[in-house]
Amino acid sequence: MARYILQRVVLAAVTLLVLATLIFFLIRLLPGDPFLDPKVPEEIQERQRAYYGLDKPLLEQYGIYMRNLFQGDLGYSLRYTGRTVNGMIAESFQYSADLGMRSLVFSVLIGIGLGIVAALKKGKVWDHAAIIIAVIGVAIPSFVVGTLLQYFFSVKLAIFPVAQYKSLAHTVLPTFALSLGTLATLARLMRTSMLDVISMDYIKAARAKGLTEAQVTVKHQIRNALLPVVTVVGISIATLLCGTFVIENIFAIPGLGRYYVMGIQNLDYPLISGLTIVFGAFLIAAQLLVDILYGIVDPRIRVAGKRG
Amino acid sequence: MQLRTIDYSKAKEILKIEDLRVSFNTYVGEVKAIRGVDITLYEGEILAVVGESGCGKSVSFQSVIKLLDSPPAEYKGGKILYQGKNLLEASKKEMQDIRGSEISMIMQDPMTALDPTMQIGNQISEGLRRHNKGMSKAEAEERVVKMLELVGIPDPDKRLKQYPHEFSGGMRQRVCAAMALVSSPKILIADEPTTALDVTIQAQIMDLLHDLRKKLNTAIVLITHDLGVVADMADRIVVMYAGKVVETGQVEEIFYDSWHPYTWGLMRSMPKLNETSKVELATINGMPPDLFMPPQGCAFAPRCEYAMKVCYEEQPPVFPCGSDSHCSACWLMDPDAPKVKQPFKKDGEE
Ligand SMILES: Nc1ncnc2c1ncn2[C@@H]1O[C@H](COP(=O)(O)OP(=O)(O)OP(=O)(O)O)[C@@H](O)[C@H]1O
Ligand code: SF4
Ligand SMILES: [Mg+2]
Repeated sequence: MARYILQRVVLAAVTLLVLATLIFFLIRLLPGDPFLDPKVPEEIQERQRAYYGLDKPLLEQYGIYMRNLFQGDLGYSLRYTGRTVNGMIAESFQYSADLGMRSLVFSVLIGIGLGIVAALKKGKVWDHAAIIIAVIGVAIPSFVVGTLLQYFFSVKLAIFPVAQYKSLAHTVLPTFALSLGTLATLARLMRTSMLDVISMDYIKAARAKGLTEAQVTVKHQIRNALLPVVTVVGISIATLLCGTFVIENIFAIPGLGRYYVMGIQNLDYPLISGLTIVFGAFLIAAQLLVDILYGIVDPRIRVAGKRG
Repeated sequence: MQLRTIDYSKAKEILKIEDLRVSFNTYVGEVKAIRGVDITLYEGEILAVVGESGCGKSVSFQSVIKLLDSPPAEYKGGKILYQGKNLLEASKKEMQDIRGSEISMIMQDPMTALDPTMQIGNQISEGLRRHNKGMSKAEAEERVVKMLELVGIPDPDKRLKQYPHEFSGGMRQRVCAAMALVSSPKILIADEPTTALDVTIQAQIMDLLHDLRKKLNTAIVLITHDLGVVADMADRIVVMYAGKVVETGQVEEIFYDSWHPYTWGLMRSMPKLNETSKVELATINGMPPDLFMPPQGCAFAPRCEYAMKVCYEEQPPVFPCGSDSHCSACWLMDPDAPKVKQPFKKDGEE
């Protein structure tokens, strides 16, 4: 197991390095120049380029960028004078992270729970309810859900605040809007997986041992049904992360998503690459966690890692 | 052929299936899978149940421990008597207490019969601890190690911490046997325990079952569609066709004195190891009947070269064939039927 984890960690580090390199060169392939503005005198543009090191050869810029990166320095924003990217991220990260974590926990717990209940009550009311939620959740995009929730629960019924992110009440609607799609996907997947597993021979064998239905469900059915679901949780984290852009906009949450959109509009190289690296690191860490989790639930993976 | 170990004049009945009827309610109609089956099992014997695919071997014996999902399965009638109790009327809880501790089952495919996410030691002991409340973990483990030793798994104390994928097919079937036998059941149902394994391993597993029967005195129901496998294993044979029992007898009675044309067909389609010349394997022509609409008369009639008018009109009753243990459901046994020569009669083999 230790060896398996080490492998995954090394792989994650390499991925992050490749990502940082790619993002550096790809941004510079974008057409345009952050300081190219007809209203600003040529001379001032030159000065700004020199100040930010953009007049140096590309490879030298890359060297500086990587060195800074290893020191954890993401540089200065090109547009928000005097502000470091680190500072901007530090200030907005907590909101995105909070929203993301809440949504992840909510969608994983409720989604998987709903899938289990639906499968156990196949063909009954609970099952139908779960299927309806799943279809709605998958079919309706989060910005529509977000807007509708905001309209009914905040504007019409005034149960929750309309926007901002200041108290628990503020978090309810954004969390729900962001989670619904993932929750639906996980519920559907868990339901199918549960039903696949129930027809396996080892379930019959477990019953033939005289185990109670509850024992069979908990010790054999749910555990095995989780395997394919765990892999999807990794993808879900990515989906949730991207979803935060939209949801943060609808509910005016001062998170990372807002800066990302502005950074791209302004060709703010350090801001874009900084945010991408942070998002990337986050995703890679999430994937790492999922891999390790998968190793824990599926012994076949664990042992394969030990041998290879 | 081995010496029989069972003296049937003294043998005690342990399980009696009487006129069992099971149907599957599917969306295209009712499949009458089991249409009145009578089977008796004696203490400590090995009973082979043979017949073509789909004849109802698995359904009959999954009914015994009520492992069939219902729906779609529905018990339409009959009794399954175990220790004087009709299992078809037993409660869920009573059935759970019987499964594994009184009557156990080995599944057909050892590759899928073990939970891939659980150490085999735990898979074996969970049933044991379910039936022996208050047994400590250490005691259970000790018993598991003994069991693994008994089924011929080397290094049992290490192996019990391993997962199913670390075992070969044959080893997994041994694990399954240990799992089924750990609570010392009186009856072991082995549903084609070797079809998924390759030939040399098959023989080993059969030897193992044979050996275990001797050591544990468990009655074994060996379900198979291969008559050859049972020749040197079983004490008695039940031949099934289209949801009914067509012939029952001790091994010699079936192999050397069979009275049923379907059994003859099965024997012709059995590969003979001692034959040097290449012979075409005979198969029984035709297909088993549609169980949505079982025929009015003998289900084998359309495929039977001896079929008479009465065969199409009326179900053949069960006729005794000379001994208490041997009977055949075929009109040829009727005193009024024309005399035919038994193709597999001892001394007069084909
Ligand atoms: N779940 C089910 N739904 C509908 N029909 C079923 C179901 N299970 C079994 N049957 C029917 O019951 C009959 C008996 O099946 P069974 O599995 O007992 O056959 P078998 O003798 O064990 O054959 P095999 O050698 O292939 O295992 C078959 O004709 C099959 O079509
Ligand atoms: S009853 Fe008739 S059809 Fe059926 S097996 Fe006997 S002879 Fe053949
Ligand atoms: Mg079968």
